[in-house]
Amino acid sequence: MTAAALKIRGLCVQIDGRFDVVKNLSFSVCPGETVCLVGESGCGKSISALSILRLLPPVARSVAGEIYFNGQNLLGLPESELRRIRGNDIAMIFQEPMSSLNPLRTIGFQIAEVMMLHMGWSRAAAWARAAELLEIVRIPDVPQVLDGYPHQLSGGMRQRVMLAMALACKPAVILADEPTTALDVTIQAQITGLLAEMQQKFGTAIVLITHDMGLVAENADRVVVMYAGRKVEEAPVQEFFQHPAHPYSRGLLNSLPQLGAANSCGQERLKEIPGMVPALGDLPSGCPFFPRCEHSDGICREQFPSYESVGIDHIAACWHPRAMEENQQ
Amino acid sequence: MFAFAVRRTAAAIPVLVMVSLIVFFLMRLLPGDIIDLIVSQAQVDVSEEMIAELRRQYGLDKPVYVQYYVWVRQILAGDFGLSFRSHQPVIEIILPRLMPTFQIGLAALFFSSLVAIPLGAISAARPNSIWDRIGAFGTFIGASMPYFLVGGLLIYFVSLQLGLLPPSGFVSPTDDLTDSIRHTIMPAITLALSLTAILIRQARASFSDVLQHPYIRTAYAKGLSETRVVVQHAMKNALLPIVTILGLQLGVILSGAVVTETVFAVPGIGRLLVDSILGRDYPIVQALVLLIAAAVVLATLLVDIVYGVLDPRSSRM
Repeated sequence: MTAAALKIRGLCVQIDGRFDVVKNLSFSVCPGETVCLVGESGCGKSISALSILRLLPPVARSVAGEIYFNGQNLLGLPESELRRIRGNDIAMIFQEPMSSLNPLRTIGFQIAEVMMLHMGWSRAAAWARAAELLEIVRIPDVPQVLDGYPHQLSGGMRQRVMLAMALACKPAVILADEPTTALDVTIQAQITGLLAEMQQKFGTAIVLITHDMGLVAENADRVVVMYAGRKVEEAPVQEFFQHPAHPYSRGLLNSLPQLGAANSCGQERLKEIPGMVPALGDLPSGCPFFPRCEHSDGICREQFPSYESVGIDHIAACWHPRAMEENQQ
Repeated sequence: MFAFAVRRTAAAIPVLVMVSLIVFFLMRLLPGDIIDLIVSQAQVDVSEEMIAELRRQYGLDKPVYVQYYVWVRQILAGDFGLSFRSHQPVIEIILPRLMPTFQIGLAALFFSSLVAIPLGAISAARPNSIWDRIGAFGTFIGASMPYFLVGGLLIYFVSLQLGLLPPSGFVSPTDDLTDSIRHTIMPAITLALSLTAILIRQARASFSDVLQHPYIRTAYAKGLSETRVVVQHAMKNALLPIVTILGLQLGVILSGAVVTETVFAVPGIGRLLVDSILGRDYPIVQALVLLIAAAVVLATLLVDIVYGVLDPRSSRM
């Protein structure tokens, strides 16, 4: 296995200094690899990604852990050195293409700015490269778009611009926070296709945050499942879909609509995970999933399970991994 | 854009008609008119016949609505009439008075923007910092100090105690530029104080609103420093509402000019207005109020045009 491009160890993030939104999160991404961070809204996926570049909103703070990039702990770097990494070595793509671009600045400026900043290029050189990047992300009418403003573009086009911006300095790592959630399905495929193409070309490591299992199946090499701020399972993508070990992962997969899975009446009710995600201030002790878990018992209430190997490169934090499979046999 | 300007100018007409009606009838609601003043100052007894004759000469004998009709017809012909007191054309009296008011108002506007916008930006970027506290305190002081108090304090300390600046009067910049600037500083600061208070609040609110937007996070994610994020990505966006406020503050500046020019004995339109109201010089008061209303309307129109230039999204108008 090659050295990880980005390695996160024991990350803990708190909001208001009280609530744990991310607890003891560890995972790593290798060059050319895509790791998908999946889980319900509010499970700490986005917060984890933001804390990598230390872009957390003021109420949140990472209180423990290390994030290694190029042998440096990003959480310990002074702000000025971190700025040299942001946008340059680690780029980020956000969820809302509508509002993530500055409405009063031209597209050209917003892309060229990154290169002028990190590569010290002249305005002319940076704009020329910006035009090339727009070609690469397949934007039609490049000269017009360069001088245009975000409001003149559709959501899909804006996300391409974001992608061009992220690719500008050929980053080693791209953090993509639900890059396609706001787009319709055909555009989604185009954007993830572009991302994969760039990854092959430059060997970029990608952290893809999503709750879309279809996206996971198509893009991920490895999957990290988060629940209530904790990693509950990590597995290679094939293994994850075939043998999910954590009851929550199985719940996630079961709640996907499946073709040909209709019951005898010809109707199908989508399976759901019973209960609700616990509120931040109201996390149960022990395993946070136990109130919703059909296999929980006494130990689940008392202690968070340790991460156990349940297969090749496959770990899960559950006292009763594969309980369902055993039941079925 | 041109059609927009024409439409907006046309929309100003009813406003001006309303203003002309209000000022015309309000002036006549004031107890006593120019004739009463003349009679009270006369050394000899004035007969009833002479008073009636005077009223007739000034056109004050006719019913008020007829007076209004006569006045409006005059204005539409481009004639603002003669001053009741000096019998000079109103235009000739007003024109030389515009320059001092304009100069002091512009200086005040410049001064408050220069102080308030950076202070508001820093306050928003660093809430609860020392700058934020200074801004909040400045707002409090500026908003609660009346013009005559600020003006009086400045005259007392800066002019009388320290002898740094002239306490009153005005010198035209074409006569002596340095002296003109020296005469402008204190009235401009007096006028700027409450404006600055409003502007700091506005700038802080505007910047902190803009700094919440996702594109600011994008800018940080690119590796830009805080200063660059604020200047390159927040400034223009935050200035939009501030420009609006600035345009609307023209009314505040002109009303402040009334007191400020009186305190500093500046021969501007503010003082002319006060003197003319006290002297019941109807033609001058009416012309001045109409002029001020037109200026405010024009300023809001200008603001909308500047807005269109600043914001590419609104250029479709």
